[in-house]
Amino acid sequence: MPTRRRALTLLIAGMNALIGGILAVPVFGYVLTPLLRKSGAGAWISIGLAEDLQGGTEPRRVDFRYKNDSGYTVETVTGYAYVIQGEDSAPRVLSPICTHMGCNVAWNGERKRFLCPCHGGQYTADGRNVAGPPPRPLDQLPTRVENGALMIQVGAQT
Amino acid sequence: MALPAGEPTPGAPLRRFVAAVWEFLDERMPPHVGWTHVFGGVLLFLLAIQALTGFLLALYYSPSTATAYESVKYIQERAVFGGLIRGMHRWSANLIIVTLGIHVARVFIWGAYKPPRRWTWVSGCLLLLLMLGFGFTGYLLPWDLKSYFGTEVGTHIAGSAPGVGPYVLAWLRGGSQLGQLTLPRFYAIHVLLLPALLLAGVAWHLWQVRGHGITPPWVRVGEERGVPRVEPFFPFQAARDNAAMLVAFALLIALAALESRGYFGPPLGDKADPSNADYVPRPDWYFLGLQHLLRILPAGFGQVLATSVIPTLAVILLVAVPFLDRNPERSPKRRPVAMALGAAAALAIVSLTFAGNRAVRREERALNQRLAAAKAKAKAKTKAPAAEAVPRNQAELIAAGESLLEQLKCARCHSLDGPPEGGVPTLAWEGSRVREGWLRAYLKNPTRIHWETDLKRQGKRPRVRMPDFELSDDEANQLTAFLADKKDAELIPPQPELEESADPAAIERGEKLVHETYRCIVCHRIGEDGTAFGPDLTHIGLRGRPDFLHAIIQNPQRLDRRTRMKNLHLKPDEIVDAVRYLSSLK
Repeated sequence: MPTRRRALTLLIAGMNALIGGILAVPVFGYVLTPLLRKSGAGAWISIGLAEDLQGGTEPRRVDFRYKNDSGYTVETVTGYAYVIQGEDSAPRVLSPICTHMGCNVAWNGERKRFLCPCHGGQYTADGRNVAGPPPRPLDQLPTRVENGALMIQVGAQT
Repeated sequence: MALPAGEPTPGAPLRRFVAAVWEFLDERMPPHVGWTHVFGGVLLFLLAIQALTGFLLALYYSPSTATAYESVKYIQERAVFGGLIRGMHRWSANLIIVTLGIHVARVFIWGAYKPPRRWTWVSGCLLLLLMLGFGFTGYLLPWDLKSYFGTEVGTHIAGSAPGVGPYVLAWLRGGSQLGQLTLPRFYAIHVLLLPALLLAGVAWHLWQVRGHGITPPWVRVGEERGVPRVEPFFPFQAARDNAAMLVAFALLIALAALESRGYFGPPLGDKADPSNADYVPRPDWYFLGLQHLLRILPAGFGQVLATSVIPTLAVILLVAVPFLDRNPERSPKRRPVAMALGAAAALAIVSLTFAGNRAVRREERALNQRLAAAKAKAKAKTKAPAAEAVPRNQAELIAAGESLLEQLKCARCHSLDGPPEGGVPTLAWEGSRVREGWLRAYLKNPTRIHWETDLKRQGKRPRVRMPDFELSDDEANQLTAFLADKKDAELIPPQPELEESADPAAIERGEKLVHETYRCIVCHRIGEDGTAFGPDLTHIGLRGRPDFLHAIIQNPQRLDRRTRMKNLHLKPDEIVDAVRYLSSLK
């Protein structure tokens, strides 16, 4: 009975498609949770008094830590950034994350360059990319001065 | 371009694989096979659901006593469809046990364990034991009260075996007690070891099922050869199997959806707490029978019977069924002894399970009555004098407050004698820290304090917050009396002269110190001024006692070694002025 056989085959395909279709909704929703949930705008943290951070010819490293809500625990995240003098003598803060593949760059005082340890990227003291693969200058972190404290925004989605 | 002779074409392995699958599905079935034979297929389907949902849960689950409960709560409450996925995993596990029971009963009644299929039965028994292992190890993972105490009892049962018991217990727990060393090992067994064994076991079982073919119903052992096998498995039996899977799936989705909406009680209990004495441990339902044996058998050897001898014998008997039963007949009518014994075993298991459930229910009811009675007694004790409007003496109030503090389990979050922990104020010197009037109002209606609401503005949840206990006036008075009495004159020396009202000049000097000289507002908010990095000081005069303000400005680290507040080394008269100013902020 080829017709009964065919009908049953179609029925099996239909039933499995139904199961798969219904299952797909929660499964994909669940897997895509990180994309469906809004991530935080990033926290503003103080890295010190603005007047203390002014002056100096070389980029100055500032270390900081802040609390980050990572879903079900609050973890302490450590980080660092470089404070440099802008043209209008207002401090600017450079992210040390290489714009190539995201390694941490460090200031090399002898060579007057930010050097990336991964693929040889180099940046000048004001963050311009001058050698190696980085496609753009180091990112500047949003800053503002509040009650004399220099604040930077960290943890924002870029 | 012609390939050299003997070289397979690129698509050949795939084609061979597809052909093998079709050959596998093209099994020829004997007559009278039908809807009764769908349960193995349903089990396979439910196992696939378990593998899928288990993987999804593992994306977020964190096997650590510090985070396991929180991660499951995250899955349950915040992951998209997380409650449904977790409900499917739980309910599929339950359905597997039920379906397994039906499958075993079906195979037993049909006499399908008889030669040549004796090892098919043995491999099936192995799978059954693996399922129980999955259930036992998976039960602990959410780390709520139910899983903690269920596993506490479960590991003890395993550990009470004569001779090897203590070693089994230590090995299962990974340490002397249930805790951080236990959780990762249950997790590893649940997601790595058992699935690998299960995969091998299922492959073995299916291989045997396919190799020997479906047992022709009611045909004597040795007379199978003459039975015609015409209808292919696919699509005829496959359609029935598939329809049964669809029914199981619909049931599963319905149960999981209802559970995630709380129809069967809260999907996740309170976090595991070894100090909780108000909880009746309840193992998963398919272990209730085993647990009930412990209740009905006497102490001493009876307990050894219940925990070791009877379960071990039961497993051995189950595995040995095809070797003990030499009757060549398959029709139940001609196997009265086997059928009677099988029915008796099934009846024993079912009735033990029901009796075990009734016993747990009874104990839960008794516990609830005890708790209610204790609460009523405590209420009566505290209410009665108030009704007579007799002014209570301070010592009585304080004592009542202390017992209330224990009842409310304040110590779960607050330290009672040490420094503050995790951003939660210590109660060790609460009387020195806050004003009594504010404390009473706060206990009655614990709104969040301002610097926590700043977290909310950033879209974050405060990690800890004070619950509203809906205290009566009396209860709030008792608790306030007790806490106001908690003073530490050494840590926070009393400053009686600061209680007196100050002259405006001192307040003005203090304002200058706080806002300009020492810039407290870099971290504190006062009205519209400053950032709420630390506590909001807008109304600090209502909340903080001058003694405390004096002590914390003088040396913050002395009160809390880990505080992030800086010691700005104010001069003594500057501290006094600053406190005068802060106390004026009401």
